[in-house]
Amino acid sequence: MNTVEMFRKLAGFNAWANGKIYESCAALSDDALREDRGAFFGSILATLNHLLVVDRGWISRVEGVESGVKSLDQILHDDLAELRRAREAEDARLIRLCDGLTQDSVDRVVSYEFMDGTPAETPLDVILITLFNHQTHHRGQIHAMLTQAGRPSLDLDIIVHDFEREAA
Amino acid sequence: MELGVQYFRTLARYNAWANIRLYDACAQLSDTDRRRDRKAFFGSIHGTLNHLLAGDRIWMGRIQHREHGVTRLDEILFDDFEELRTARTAEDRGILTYADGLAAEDMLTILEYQSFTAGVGKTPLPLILGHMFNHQTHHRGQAHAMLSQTGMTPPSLDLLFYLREMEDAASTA
Repeated sequence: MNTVEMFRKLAGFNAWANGKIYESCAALSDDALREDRGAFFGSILATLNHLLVVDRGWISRVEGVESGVKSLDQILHDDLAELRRAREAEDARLIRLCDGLTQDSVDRVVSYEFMDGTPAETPLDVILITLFNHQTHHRGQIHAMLTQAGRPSLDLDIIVHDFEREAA
Repeated sequence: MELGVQYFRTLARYNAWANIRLYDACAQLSDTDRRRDRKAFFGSIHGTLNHLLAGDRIWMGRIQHREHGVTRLDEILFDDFEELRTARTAEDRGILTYADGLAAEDMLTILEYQSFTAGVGKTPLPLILGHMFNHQTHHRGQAHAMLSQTGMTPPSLDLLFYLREMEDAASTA
């Protein structure tokens, strides 16, 4: 398995895991989604928004386009159904990005600016590795908040995703 | 960065770094606070840390074809926090040693194993390793949420933050 194949797998895994998370969130009341549960971004809804903010920010940097993102705690969508649609679109965008990777270009240097305007450069494969890890970290937080809200546990293992894909 | 050995060496180092930061934060809590059932899947911070160690031991045992000694996924391997921490440090050193010893041809290995919950698996080693490192991040995320819920500001566990720290350390060395 090479770098490009791994990233394509992780992009598919990300979309699958987000689908499970959002399905579970859809069963919560609006109050339960917005309740400040003391996580770094407070509520489940705010943490879901943060994840979308960061994914959109990085994917836009890689594509060399404006992200429209202003802050790490930005609320892009206050409504779960709208947020879910935006999430699905962003996940499809990440899959397309990874589908377009080649072994020769996967470590190309991406030039961008931090939110304060400072210029920076990071190799694309480093960006993707940190992005996938960041997603898992915040899904872990959301998972904890979901079980705290009374939802059943979700199996978000990469291995389980692989088993399910093979069975399909 | 070619995937395979360098990627997994980086993740092994990141894992050790993140666990040190996480455990340092957990050490600031009372034992009662660590054991309080906060309704994560493995209940408490203590339960979650134990599960993570159990998970890593299971996978490393399978990968290295040796007995891992874990009997259940929610096993409490160490009831004492400092003993758990010592065991964690040793496990992370073992994972680092393993990752440092990986060769490119190892990436072609298909691992066969008996899952606790899902039957027999036959999975390429890179995917197993990817899963193991992802699993660590997932449960550290849960622990991170529970730490913030105690009122403390938990440490950043961001991989990009770790990589930048390493770059800074290298450039000032």
